[in-house]
Amino acid sequence: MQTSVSAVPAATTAERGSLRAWLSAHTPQLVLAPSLLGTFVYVFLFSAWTLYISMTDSTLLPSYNFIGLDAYVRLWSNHRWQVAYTNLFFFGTFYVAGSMAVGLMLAILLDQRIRAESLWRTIYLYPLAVSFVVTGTVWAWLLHPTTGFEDLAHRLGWASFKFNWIIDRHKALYAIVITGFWHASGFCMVLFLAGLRSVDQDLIKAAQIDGASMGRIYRRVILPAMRPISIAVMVVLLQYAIKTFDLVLALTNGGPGISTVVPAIIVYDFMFQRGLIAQGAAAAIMILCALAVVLVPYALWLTWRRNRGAVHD
Amino acid sequence: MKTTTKRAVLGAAVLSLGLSGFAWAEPKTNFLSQWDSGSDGASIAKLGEMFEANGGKWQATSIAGHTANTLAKLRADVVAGNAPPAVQLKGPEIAEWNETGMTAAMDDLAEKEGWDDVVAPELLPVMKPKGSWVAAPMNIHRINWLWANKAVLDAAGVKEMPKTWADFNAACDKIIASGKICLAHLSADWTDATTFETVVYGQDLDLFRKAFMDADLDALRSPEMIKAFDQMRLMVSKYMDPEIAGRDYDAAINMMANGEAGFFLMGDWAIGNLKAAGFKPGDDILCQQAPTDWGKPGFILNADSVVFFTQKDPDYIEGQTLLAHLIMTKDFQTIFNQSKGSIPSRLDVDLSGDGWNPCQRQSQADLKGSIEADTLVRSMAHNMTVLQKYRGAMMDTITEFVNSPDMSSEDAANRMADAVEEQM
Repeated sequence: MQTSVSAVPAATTAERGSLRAWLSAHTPQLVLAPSLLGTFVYVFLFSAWTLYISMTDSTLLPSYNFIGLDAYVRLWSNHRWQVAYTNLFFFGTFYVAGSMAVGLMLAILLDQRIRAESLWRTIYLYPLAVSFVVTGTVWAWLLHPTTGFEDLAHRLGWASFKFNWIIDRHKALYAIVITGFWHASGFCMVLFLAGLRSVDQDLIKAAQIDGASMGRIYRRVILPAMRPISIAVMVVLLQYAIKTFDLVLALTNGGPGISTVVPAIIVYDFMFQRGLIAQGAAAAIMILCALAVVLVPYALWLTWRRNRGAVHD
Repeated sequence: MKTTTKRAVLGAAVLSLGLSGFAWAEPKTNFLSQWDSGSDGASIAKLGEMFEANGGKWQATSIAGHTANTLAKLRADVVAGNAPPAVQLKGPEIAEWNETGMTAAMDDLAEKEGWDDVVAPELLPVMKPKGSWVAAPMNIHRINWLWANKAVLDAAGVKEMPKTWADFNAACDKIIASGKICLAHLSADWTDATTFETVVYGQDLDLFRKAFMDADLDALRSPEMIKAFDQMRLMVSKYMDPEIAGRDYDAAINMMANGEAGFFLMGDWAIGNLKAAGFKPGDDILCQQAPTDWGKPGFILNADSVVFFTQKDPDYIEGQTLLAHLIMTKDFQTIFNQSKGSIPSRLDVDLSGDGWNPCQRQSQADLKGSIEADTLVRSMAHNMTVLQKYRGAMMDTITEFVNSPDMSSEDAANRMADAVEEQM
């Protein structure tokens, strides 16, 4: 009986064989391990470090003396922070909802099998390639009454046209939201277009046979089928909204006064300008909480749905 | 025999290398600042030329944008153990960094060259926070300038530049009656704070010292502060135009220079902008100290300075001494300030030469007058007095006040005091 061709003792071959087998069985994990380790360190370890620093007495340089929640108390009694946190929710909601609505409308229009579709797609997607700083600077000129739309209308003869949102402290935030739409709706449009095209044609044909109008088909068949894409778009837009910093800085610099500050600006200000690292870290943790307020219920709901679906199966 | 010769040759080579290492210790430096472009960048380039002409190797790291970016780089470098040999720092930050113990003292050089005698006395506690020289002042900027367009004043019948705030209000009424905007302005946190501190200083010198230099809470809430906010509200609602939010700095200066507005309240760096746009400060653009109600020469100062951090490399240490010496020479102070629009931090530099304009000469005369009259103060809006955390709180309230027509002066004063108190 032939056992092995090589002259190596059978035990070593078996060991080597099992090592190789183990390696080949676990190749994906081993290849991913460095990236996973990096992600773990950068996301979890550094977030934990920020959380710890927010409870110390760090000012100009980080220090490690634990003092409790003093930084949070000072942060929340700061009027500018209160304005920023409220702005985050307003801006985030309008930005995400608006960009998705505009993107969806553009996608539906582009889906009608028009000519030169790829040209239109490129035009609408182009703003995403422009950096936030350039977007902010150009739109600041466009929206300011002395250099932008209002000035143009006045010069064309429409003397009573008014579009001075950007210098009105109650409406400046909405001016920023409009600029955000311009920037992000191309991205939503492209993803929604892909989603629209991926809906099963049989479903649509069945609905048409049943005599449904196009509008009804869109509402009842196509849009519900696009829920996973909508969720993906919403998550990406949310993280854009939460870390908005350079767009606001370039557009209004937090003005008029302090009415359009956002938390990211306050984190940068406290950490680098005012030498208040503990309060800056506390602000960063509060931004994380804002994100958690949205995403944790969503994750829980997903799990609940999955369990409910499993039961029904 | 062979081995001994080999060893001897090697030993000689190593020894000569070591000796030549000492002989070649040349001063070098790496200057970290925010002045990367325009007239500021050109001024620092001049410092580099002087450094190289004196045998040093010059290197400059310029971080574009706000001072905060430069401070962030400094902090990152210090935490990494790689503190820069020379950094542009000013005001209370010098004291803060001095507390960390990482700054290098220049006392020997200071004594040899007699810095204590020639530098303006108000600057000494800033450059010597604990009694020893850790910073070399490069220049003195004046904040409380009032710029005016001569043609607009003539057309409105304003005979001379206003000396008190009452005169200013009267002049403004005349200018508005003649159809022009009175005060050009752009609303940003630093510009609102600059204008406001000029108002406070002009109305009440004691209030300025207590509120903006000592951060005294009672002074911040006092009726005098409310009166200052009243004057500010009058200026914002009546004398400025409604589009101050989001305006460019250049647009605001040009408004005054081109004759759309009569006055502009800004520090002397405006000279650089005016000269670049082809105007002549002193001729068609008038300059005078901003209105004061107490009738003496007044001066709010802002000084850029260089701080040195302790180094291990002897080349960098030599470079620091050379750089500090060069910064305090009359030559550098002349060249640098002529191009930057400020005046030298050395009081004994003569400004009667060609490169200076009449406003700069006036500035130096007023500085000396202000020292004698004991009215010299440092600027809060330009980070020379209180710590950044207090200054930030004050500036936030001031800019919110300017942009909220429905905020009352009493409200603003209390909010400013509250905001400062929260950071204590």
